[in-house]
Amino acid sequence: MANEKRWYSGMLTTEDWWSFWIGIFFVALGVIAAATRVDLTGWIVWFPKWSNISNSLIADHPEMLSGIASLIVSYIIFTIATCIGARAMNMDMKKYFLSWTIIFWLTAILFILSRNAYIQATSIERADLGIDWSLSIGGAHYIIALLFGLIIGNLFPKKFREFMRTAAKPEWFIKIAIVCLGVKLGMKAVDATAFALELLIAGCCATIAAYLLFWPLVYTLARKAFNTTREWAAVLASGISICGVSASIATGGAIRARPIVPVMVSGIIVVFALVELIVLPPVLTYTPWFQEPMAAGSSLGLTVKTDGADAASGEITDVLMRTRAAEELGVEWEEGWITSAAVMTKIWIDMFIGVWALVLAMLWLFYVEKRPDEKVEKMQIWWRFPKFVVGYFLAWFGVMALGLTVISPEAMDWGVHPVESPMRKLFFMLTFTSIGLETDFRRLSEEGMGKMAIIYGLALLIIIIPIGWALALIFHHGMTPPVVGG
Amino acid sequence: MSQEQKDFSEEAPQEPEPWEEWETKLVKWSLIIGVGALIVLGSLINIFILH
Repeated sequence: MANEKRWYSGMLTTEDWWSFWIGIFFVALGVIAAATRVDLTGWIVWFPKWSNISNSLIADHPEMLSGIASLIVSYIIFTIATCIGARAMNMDMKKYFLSWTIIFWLTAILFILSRNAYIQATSIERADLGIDWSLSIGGAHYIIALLFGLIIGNLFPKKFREFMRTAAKPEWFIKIAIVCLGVKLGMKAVDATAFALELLIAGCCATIAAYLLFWPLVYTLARKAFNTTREWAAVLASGISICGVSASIATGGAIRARPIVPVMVSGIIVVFALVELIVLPPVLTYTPWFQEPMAAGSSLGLTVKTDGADAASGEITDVLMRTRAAEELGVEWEEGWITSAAVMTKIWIDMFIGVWALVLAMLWLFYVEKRPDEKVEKMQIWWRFPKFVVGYFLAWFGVMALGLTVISPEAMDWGVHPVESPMRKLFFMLTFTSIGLETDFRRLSEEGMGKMAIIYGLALLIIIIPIGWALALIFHHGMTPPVVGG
Repeated sequence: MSQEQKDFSEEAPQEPEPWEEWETKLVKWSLIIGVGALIVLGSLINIFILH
C-alpha cells in the first residue's frame, strides 16, 4: 500500500496491468488489421480436430503461412510479449524464458495430441473427418493439460517444480484470455444481438450475492461456529465469497492482517477451486442443469472462487454442453457463450473488490482499531479494481463501436477473429497447464489448513452452492446460447 | 518448524475477540439489503429480460 501513491501506480509492474497491456495490444493489432486489411494477426496458430496428424496445425489465415510455421511464429511473438511483461515485473528472466518455453511447447504438444478426432470428434463431425467412431470427449485437451501440470507440479523433483512455477502464471494467462474474450462480445453486439447485453445485465445478481449474502454468512460461520478471530474470519469470508486470491489479499491489506493470513487463505482456495474445476463441469453437463446452459455457466462464476478456475471451468462446461447438445439434441450452440456467462458473473464480483476493501478498512479503523479520525484513501477503489476487466470492456465496446461505424463487420471479423478464438484458446490451454503446475497438494497438510478446509468446505456446501445455484437459475433461466447459423 | 508454521502457530493461542454489536449490525443489514435488492432485481430481470 505504501507504493500506491498515484492512480497510475503499478501500471508497468503488476501482473494485472500486464494482462491488460498484452491483451489490448493484440486486440488493437486485430482492429488495425481490420481497418487497413493488412494481415497482422492471421499468423496465430490454431489446433483443429484431426484424423491425419499432418492437419493438426493451421494458421488462422492459412494462406499466410503453414501450420508448423504459424506455431513457431506464435511461440516467438507470445514469448516476446510475455517476456516484456516478465521483465517489467522484475522476474528472473533466464528462469522465466526457460520455464515459459517448456510450458508453451508442452502445452502445444498436449493440445495437438488431445485434439485427435477419435478422442474429440462429435458424431456430426465423424464423416467430415473420415472416421467411424469417436469418444466425443469435448474439452479433453484442457483436462489433459491440467493433468500433466498436476503430475509435474506434485510428483517431479522439488527443484524442477519450483523452476517450472516461475512461468506458471494461470491468473496472468487467463486474464489475457478474458481480454480477448471481450472481442467476442463486441462482435456479437455488432451482429445486432441483444443477448450479450442481456447477459451483462443478468450477471449483476452476483455482486449482491457475493458481498451482501455470502460474505456476512461466511463471516458469521467462521466467527460463531468455528470461533475464529476477526482477522481470520474477514479474510476467509472475502476469499470464500468474493475471490480467493485478490479479495483475500485486498482484505488482508484493508484490515492490516498479518501476511500469513491471506497467504494461507489463498492457498486453500486455489486447491478447492481446482477440485471444483474437475467436479462441477461434468455435474452441470450430465444433470438437469443441461437444460439451463447459461444459468449453469453463471453458477460457476458464483461458486468457483478464482478467475483462472472459473474461466477454465466455464470453458470445459461450454465444450461438454455443446458436445452433448450436438449429440443428443442435434443442435449446434455457438461456442464461448457458456464461458462468457461464467466469466461475466465473476467480473461482476471482481469489480467491487476495491469498494469492499474500502468499506472493511473504514469499519476496522472505526470499530476495531478505534481510530475514527484516520483517513482511508478512496483511491483504494481504483488501485484494487481488476485492470483486466478494463481491458475486457475496452475490447468489447471498442470492437462494437468501430464495427458499427467505420469498419465493416466482415473486415472486423477477419481482423480480430485470430485474437478472439485461437489466441484466447491457446492462453486458456496455458492456464490449464499452469493451474496444474501451481497447485501443490502438500499445502493441505500444513498446520492450520485442516480447520480452514473444513470452514471452506462447509461454507461451499451450505452457503455458496445452494444460494449461488438458486440465483443463477433465477437470473438466467431460459437463456440458451445462440445456434450456429441461426 | 518452517517459518510459515512458526508464523501460523503464533495465531493458534490467540483468543478470538468477543462478538460485538457492530458485527451484528453489519451482518443483519447486509443480509436485509442483499435479499431486498435481489428480490427487486430478480423481478425486473424476469419481467423485462427473461421472456
